[in-house]
Amino acid sequence: MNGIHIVSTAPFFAAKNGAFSVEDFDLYCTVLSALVWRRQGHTITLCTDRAGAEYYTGLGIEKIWNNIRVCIPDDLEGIEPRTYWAGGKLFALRETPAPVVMFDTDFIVWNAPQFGDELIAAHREDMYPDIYPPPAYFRLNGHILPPFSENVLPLNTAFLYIPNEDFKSFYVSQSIAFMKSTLPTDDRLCYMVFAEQRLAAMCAEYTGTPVKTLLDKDSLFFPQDNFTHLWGAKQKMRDEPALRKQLCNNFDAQLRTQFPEYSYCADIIKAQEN
Amino acid sequence: MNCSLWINGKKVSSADEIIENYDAASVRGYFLGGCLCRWLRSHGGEEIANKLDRIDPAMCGDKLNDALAVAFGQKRCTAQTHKWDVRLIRAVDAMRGANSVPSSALGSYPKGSFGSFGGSWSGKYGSGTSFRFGSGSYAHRWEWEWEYELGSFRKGSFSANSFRLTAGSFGSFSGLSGSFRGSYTGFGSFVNGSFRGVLSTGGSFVMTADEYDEIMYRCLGMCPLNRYGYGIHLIHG
Repeated sequence: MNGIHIVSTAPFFAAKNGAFSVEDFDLYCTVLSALVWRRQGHTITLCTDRAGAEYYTGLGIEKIWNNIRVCIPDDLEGIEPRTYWAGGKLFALRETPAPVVMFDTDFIVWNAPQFGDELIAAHREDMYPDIYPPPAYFRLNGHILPPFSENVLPLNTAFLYIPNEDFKSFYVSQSIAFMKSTLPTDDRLCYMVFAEQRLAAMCAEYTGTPVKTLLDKDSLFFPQDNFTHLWGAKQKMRDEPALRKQLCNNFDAQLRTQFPEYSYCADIIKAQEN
Repeated sequence: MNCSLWINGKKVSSADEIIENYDAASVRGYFLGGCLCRWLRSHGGEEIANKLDRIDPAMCGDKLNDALAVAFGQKRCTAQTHKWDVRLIRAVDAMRGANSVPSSALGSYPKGSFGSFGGSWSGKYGSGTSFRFGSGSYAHRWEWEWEYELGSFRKGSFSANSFRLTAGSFGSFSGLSGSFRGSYTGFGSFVNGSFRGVLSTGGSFVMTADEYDEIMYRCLGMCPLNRYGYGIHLIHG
C-alpha cells in the first residue's frame, strides 16, 4: 500500500522568520513513522513543497522515504496558511492517486489494518461545539455547501486511507473549495478541522462510502500496541523539556536498535539538538 | 483523471451527465478544487473546459456560481449560497473563550479524556433564543485525570470491585468500543454509569466508571505523555 507523509512549509513561514526547521521529537517520529511503515512491506512518499524538499534533502534523511515529490503549491493556491495550517494535506491528496494512505509525521502505524473498500480514519471525534460549531458559524464568500448531514461525527484524519479516486476527488474538491471560499478570520481551529475532518465524514456519509476507524473514540487512551500519535504531547514537550528529553532519548534508542542501518539519521537529529 | 464525479448525489461519467444533473455545490467544489477542467477534457467536455479556463477562480461571491452555471448551459445559478449567523458566531466565540480550548500552533488536541456520554449542550444567544448543537457530547474530566494532575495517585476513591476484564496484563486490549450512558456529576464521577464494550477477541463486558478510571490510571502509568496523545508508551528506550 502506498502511504504519504505530508509537509507544507507555508504555515511555518506565515508564522516565523528564518529558515524552515523541524523540532527534534518531530524529526525522530517522522523517521520512525516512515521506517516502521516500510518494514511492513508498504511504500511511502514525502509530499511537500520546494522548501520542504530542500530541507529534508539538505538534512540528509531523505532516504527514509521511497521518494520525495514536490506537489504542494508553495502558496497553497491562495489559501490562508495560518487558518488552514494543514491545508497542504488536501493538495497532496489531490496529486496522489487512490488507493492511498495519508498519515501525519507524528503518527506511527506499528501494525497496519487490512485495506479494502472502506474509508479508514484514526477515530471519530465528538462534536464539541467550540471545536465543531454548526456550519452557519463559518463566514464564506459565495460558497455553496452540498446538503451534508450535520449530525455525522467528524473523523480524525491523522491517519486516512482513501480506497478510491471517486471519493478522493469529491472530498478533496469540497475541502479545497471551502478553504478558498473562506473570508479573513482569526480562527485557527474551527475552520481547519471543519475543512479537513468534518468534511471527510460528511463527504463519506453523502456518497455512501463506508467508514471504519483504527480506534474507538471512547477508548482512545486504553492500552494498545498498534498506533502511536504524539498529537498534544508535542506541545507538552515544548512546555516541559524533561519530558522532551526523555522521549527523544527513547526515540534515539529505538531507532538505533530497530533500524541500525538508519542510525545515521539519529546522529543527524542529535547533531541538530546541539 | 480516471474517476466518476459526484453530482447531485449521483456518480456521473461524462460532461453531458453533469449538464443533466447540474448541481452548483458539486460543480463549484470541483472547479475550485482544481480538477474539473482536466476531468472534462477526458470525459467529452472539451468545449466546456475551454469556457471554464476563461473564468477567473478569484471571482467573488455569486458571480463565480453564475459563471459556472452558464458554462454548463444553465441560465444562472439558482442554488442558495451559504449564509452565516452572526449571533451564532458570537455565542460560539464566547463559549470558546470560557472553555479555553487548547490548540497548538499546528492543531487541536484533547483537553481531557475522550470519554463522552450521551447528552446535549444548549445555550442562548440573541434575545433568549436557545439553540442546540448536534449530538452534544463533550469532554469532561474523569476522576483519574484529577488524581493524575494533582500527582497524588491516591486509590482510595476507586471502588473495591476487582477488575474483571482480564486476568492477564494490559497489553491484550484491542478493539474495545462502547460509550458511557449515565449522569455527569461535576468532577467526572459517574452515577449509575456503565461502559459496555466488546472485546476484539469476542465476548462482551460491562465496566463501571470506576473500572474505566482504573484502566486509564494504569495506562497513564505507562507513559505520562499518553494523556496528550496515545500509544506513546510504545516509544521506549
